[in-house]
Amino acid sequence: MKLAAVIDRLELCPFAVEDREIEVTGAYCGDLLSDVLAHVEAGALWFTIQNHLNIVAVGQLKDVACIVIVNDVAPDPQTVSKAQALGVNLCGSSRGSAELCMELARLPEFSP
Amino acid sequence: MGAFNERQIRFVHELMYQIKVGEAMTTEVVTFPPTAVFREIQRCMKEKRFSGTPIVDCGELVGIVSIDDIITAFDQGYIDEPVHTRMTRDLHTIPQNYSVIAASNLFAKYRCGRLPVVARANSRELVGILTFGDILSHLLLKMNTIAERIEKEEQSLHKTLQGASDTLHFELAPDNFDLAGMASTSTKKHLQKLGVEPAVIRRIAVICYEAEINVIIHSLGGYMEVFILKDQVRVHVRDDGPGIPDVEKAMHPGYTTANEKIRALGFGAGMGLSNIKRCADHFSIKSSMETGTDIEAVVYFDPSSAATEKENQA
Amino acid sequence: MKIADLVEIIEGEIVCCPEKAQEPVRDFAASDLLSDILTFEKDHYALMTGLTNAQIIRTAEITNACCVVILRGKQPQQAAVQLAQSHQIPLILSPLSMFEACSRLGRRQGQEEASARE
Repeated sequence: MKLAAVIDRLELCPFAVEDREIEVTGAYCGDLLSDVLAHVEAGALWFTIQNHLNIVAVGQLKDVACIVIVNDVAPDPQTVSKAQALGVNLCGSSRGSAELCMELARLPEFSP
Repeated sequence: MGAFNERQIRFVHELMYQIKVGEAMTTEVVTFPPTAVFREIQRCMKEKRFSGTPIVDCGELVGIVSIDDIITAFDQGYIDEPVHTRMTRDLHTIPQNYSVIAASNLFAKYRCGRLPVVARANSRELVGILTFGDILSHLLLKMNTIAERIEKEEQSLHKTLQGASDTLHFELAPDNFDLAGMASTSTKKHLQKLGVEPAVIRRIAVICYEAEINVIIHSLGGYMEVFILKDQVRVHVRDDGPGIPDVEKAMHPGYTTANEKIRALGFGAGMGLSNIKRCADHFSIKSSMETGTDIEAVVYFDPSSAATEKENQA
Repeated sequence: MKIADLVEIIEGEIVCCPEKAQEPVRDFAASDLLSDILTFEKDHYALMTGLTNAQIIRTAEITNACCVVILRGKQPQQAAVQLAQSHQIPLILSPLSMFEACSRLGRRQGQEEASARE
């Protein structure tokens, strides 16, 4: 499923989206950076409440398809500019992680 | 449960040290002179239902006759002889100013059930007799008195609180993660008892919890006061420093000075203050690098007065 | 959905208060940050987290959660189990990741809604 479709279906708000055509192959949900570093897979959509600079570094390092900051938390301005600079896709949502994950799993295109 | 029992035992133990033999002993003691015969004592024991008696000569304790001595007298055939030749003279006594724990130790040491009580150490002046039963009943009496006093104190405290508005006070120690949240839980329970609406309780509980966590993570310690008034609850939290350098920045969601250890525990996301503000109808914060941080949050019971307050604040 | 259903869906194990397994779960919140969970506004929800300390139980108690799920195969700290017991909050352990747990719950909810429509 392409990122553009995910953004559309989950009604995400793009903060910095370089590549809309990238394939989203999975998802991960976590707010502890060390845990995410250890477990997130390349191509994943990463849901988190964290909004600081370090999430971009983690996103780039692990080649995630897109970072989604949940629960209406605004990203740090620095976070957005770094995401743009590094070409890391960054979106936001007014909804919580659980709700977004549950909805993503119900999309027919995303079913295993 | 285990800790509670241990506390009770410690309490009883402390009481055993406090109660003096003189308070617990029986003072109305039946005594006999050395010239009394065993049969006479045996009859008296049967009638008055006791199992041992001191032998007193001219006000001085000289011996003791127990039920064992009587049985031996029957057995050996001297039941009609005077006691002074056969009685136990090797006496264990206890002075009346000793604590009952000392008596209890002597009961165990000499495997006896009663001790003659003397006026003072090295004295032979008999003032009473002490059994294990005397200790137990005095202990129960004492505990009962204490329980009654505590109950009275609680009642008078309750009356004061009813007269004025209700106030809760909690001391918050720094770095004590395990206890973090206790004050908030107690506040929640208290408001539930008062029948406050659940949605209002939840907002107050979140305010208290976030404030409590803040004090525990970031400060040198402080306290929290919860004032319950007729139409509102005011939460006041004060810490002893070190103070917030830039309050406006700290209010911004995501701004944090917490370290990795605190984040691994699930705190320090920089959402605490904005969370408190979100839950409160009125919120104010003052911070000084000299004296520490003061936070006040107000929640109204009635949503309409809350709306007015929010408008005023905006 | 009942707590017992939740346990089954996420391959979980209920380690505290199994007697409450028939209680309903009305919503779900997933986060590794307690302040984030404290902004959640629903009652009787399942608190799903990768945290293991006693504060997850405090947070659950303060926000009226109906149960706590510890994900990623992590073991709760002893203080958390004790506090869960004293507050009577069911504690569930699951080997799944947060996303995997949520997505299974999402699919089950989808099935339930579909069968309700029929």
